[in-house]
Amino acid sequence: MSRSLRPIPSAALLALSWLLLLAAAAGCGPAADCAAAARDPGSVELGTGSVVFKALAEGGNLELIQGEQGGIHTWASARFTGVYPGVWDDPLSTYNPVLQFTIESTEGPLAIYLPQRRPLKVRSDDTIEIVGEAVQMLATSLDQAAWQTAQFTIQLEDSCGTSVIDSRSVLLVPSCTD
Amino acid sequence: MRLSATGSWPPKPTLAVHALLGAVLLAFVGGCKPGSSGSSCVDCHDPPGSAADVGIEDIHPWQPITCVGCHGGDASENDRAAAHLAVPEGLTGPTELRGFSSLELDGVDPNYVRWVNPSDYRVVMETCGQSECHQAISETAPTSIMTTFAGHFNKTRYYAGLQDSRGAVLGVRSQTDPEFAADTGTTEALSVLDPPRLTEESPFGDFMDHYLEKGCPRCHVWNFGPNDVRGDFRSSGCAGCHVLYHADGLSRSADPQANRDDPPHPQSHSMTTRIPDAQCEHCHYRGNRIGTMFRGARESGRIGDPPNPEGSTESIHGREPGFYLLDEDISNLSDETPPDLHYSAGMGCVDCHIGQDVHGDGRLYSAQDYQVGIECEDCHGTQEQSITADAGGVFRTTVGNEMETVRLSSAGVPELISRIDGESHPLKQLVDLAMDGSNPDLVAAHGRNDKGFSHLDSLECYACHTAWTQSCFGCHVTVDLRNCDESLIDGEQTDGLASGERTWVVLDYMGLGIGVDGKITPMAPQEKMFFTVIAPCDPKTQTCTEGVDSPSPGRRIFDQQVRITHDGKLGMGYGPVVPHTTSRGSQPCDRCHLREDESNWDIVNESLGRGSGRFVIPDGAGVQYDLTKVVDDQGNALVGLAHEGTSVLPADVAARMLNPRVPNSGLSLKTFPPWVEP
Repeated sequence: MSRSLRPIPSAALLALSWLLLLAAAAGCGPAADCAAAARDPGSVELGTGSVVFKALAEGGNLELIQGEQGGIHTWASARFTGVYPGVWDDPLSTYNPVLQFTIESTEGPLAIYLPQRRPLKVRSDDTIEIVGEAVQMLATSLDQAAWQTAQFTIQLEDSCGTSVIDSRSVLLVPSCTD
Repeated sequence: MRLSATGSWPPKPTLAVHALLGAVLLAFVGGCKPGSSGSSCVDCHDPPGSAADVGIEDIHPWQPITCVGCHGGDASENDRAAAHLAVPEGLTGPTELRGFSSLELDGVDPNYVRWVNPSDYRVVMETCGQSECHQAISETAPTSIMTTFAGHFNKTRYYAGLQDSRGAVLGVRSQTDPEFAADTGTTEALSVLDPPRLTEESPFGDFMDHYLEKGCPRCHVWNFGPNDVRGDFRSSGCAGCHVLYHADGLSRSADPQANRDDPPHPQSHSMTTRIPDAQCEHCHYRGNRIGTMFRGARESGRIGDPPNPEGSTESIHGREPGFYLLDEDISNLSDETPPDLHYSAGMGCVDCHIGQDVHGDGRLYSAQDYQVGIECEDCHGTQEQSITADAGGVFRTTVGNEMETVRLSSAGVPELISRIDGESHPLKQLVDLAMDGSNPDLVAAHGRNDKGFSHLDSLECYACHTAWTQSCFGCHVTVDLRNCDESLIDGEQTDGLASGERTWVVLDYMGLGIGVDGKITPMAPQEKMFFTVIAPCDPKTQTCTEGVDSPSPGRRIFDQQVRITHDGKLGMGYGPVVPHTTSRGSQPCDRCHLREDESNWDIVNESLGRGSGRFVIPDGAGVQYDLTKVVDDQGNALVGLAHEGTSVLPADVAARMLNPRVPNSGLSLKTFPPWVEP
């Protein structure tokens, strides 16, 4: 038996339409984004830079910044695919991914950046990134910190449960090394 | 759909009703706008027919102005390149200007500076400062201490004996005050620091100027600032304060052409006088750390830091997450570093700092202490008298600034209407305090005794009403000739990297002295500096002490050298400070007066500048310095004071302070691990 088309939608269909409209107006939340992100296994490219992302080559130089008021730090940045970025304008959101940077030599950790929730920026071309995270070195002078080979690593777990990691060997150098 | 005169409301939901409501919702979400004004700027930045929430914000809705009237360019051209100002040869674009040093910016075609920021002070008289607009403010603001940056150069050079005057000599721009009247704290002329080019043979003073050149002039509105770290993004000139920047420096503008991906861009194309504290903190987190202390945050110091603090969650001002501490101990219910009570009440910086405080008055001041005129009494009156309006019904500050937001409430009492949110804040008057003896401490603090003495005559309110203050001791500055850095004066990358390191960050230090108003005021340790210069070293011919195993070993040509002022005082600064952690309660009496059992000599000695021995550091020659000691046994100043009109506590005042005996409040000074050379 063929089904005839009814000229007027049912109340249920109308209610569903309203829900869809409201959902479109309000956004769908992390669950939908998790589903979208799940189609991508997730990836991360570790880099540096305080204002814009700068790629970092395996075996390349990682610049150390001598703070004007004490302390040595470096800039950590990263670009991602397939991760849920969290809520950019809410640093305290529990939807923000948990981020950690480590810088280690064979003798142990060289820097502090404990795991913490940080939102990621989604650029207009859909690139997901975080730029300009200050990673504090444990050394108290450039002489102690510089000219070591170290393993620079980023680990991130988003609120969908996706984990990504990238690591590369770097030479720690003063910032104006030619 | 047509409503029937006999129909019911609401009508039954038909498809048509749903369609209409849906359309209304979509219109609300999307909106639409009428056609173009005829300007080609609008065609791209606020396209006709686009949704209501799309389009560049009107930056000056109070008075119609045009895009070209501010920025220049050609609104009759439809081609982007023809409508926009061309990028001058040798420049890459507008973003480049936003990291320029002041001298570099001086060298840019003013028309292009105006294109990027019409409120930059190089061009402001052609824009905001036109007659019948903001002419008066535009004339004085470029002389403001926030523009000249004179105070930062002045103190350091005075402490180092590089100038015999306590009046400022240098700034970030050359200026002369044609109406100079030699008032205390003013100077007739400023010239630009000539960046020294260093060699190992350079005199000590050149290294000090090098430290100033590369370490300090980030925070003035004569340029945009380096715009290189989160939390510091901002503009220059008027826009430096009045155009808001998010901490991330990213645009939230509805301008379809706006770059929302990369800093530094303003939050939107808007100006405001409702300036939030976060905007001020783009700069005011250094120096005396006023911006951070006002909101109850202090810097961690690593040595002696609390084990269980609440740290900041963001990487800001070039610091890692957790660097700023909001609470010393999250395991208890008290906040050991509370915000200023005005902050807690919802007020902001701009509720007090208005007029001359921020825009200057045309004079060239040697430090902010002389330009800033707001006093606690301006809002809260004195013990004898409430504040009153002048004949015109205007409330004014001590220096005559009109307090536009202070008025009499409907109940006839003074109130302040916050610029931030429009909320009313009743202004408690000292004269209304209950002085009937029901609160003996209040009577002792605010009353007048039988000898006619009152604390209120000779103390600043914040000498007592300060909850805490962040002080740094042990300032080790190094200029390292093996490395290089960019000059913040001329933008050149030259040999020499200036850096500093403090040993202790302290919350419970409160030295006292005489401030610029002649009253007893809290004093901050300023640049108690040990200065080291490291030069490259050839291990074959020289004895290297730094980085001996590195590719660039070094040797010290100045080793933790202390500075001496021109008149032979120690160049370990001691200057007035307003901590901006105002508290309803006060510091305990035994902070400054002896207890009956005299068990607080260490506290009192520190307050009077006699030294407590808490912070002792040797110079390179092994001479030990108690950094809390600023007077000798006779009460004479051992250290230089860079602010005209200030002094250590006079000996007779200090002696009088030792006479009354006061109850034991339980106050004790925190102890820190001793300094160890890294």
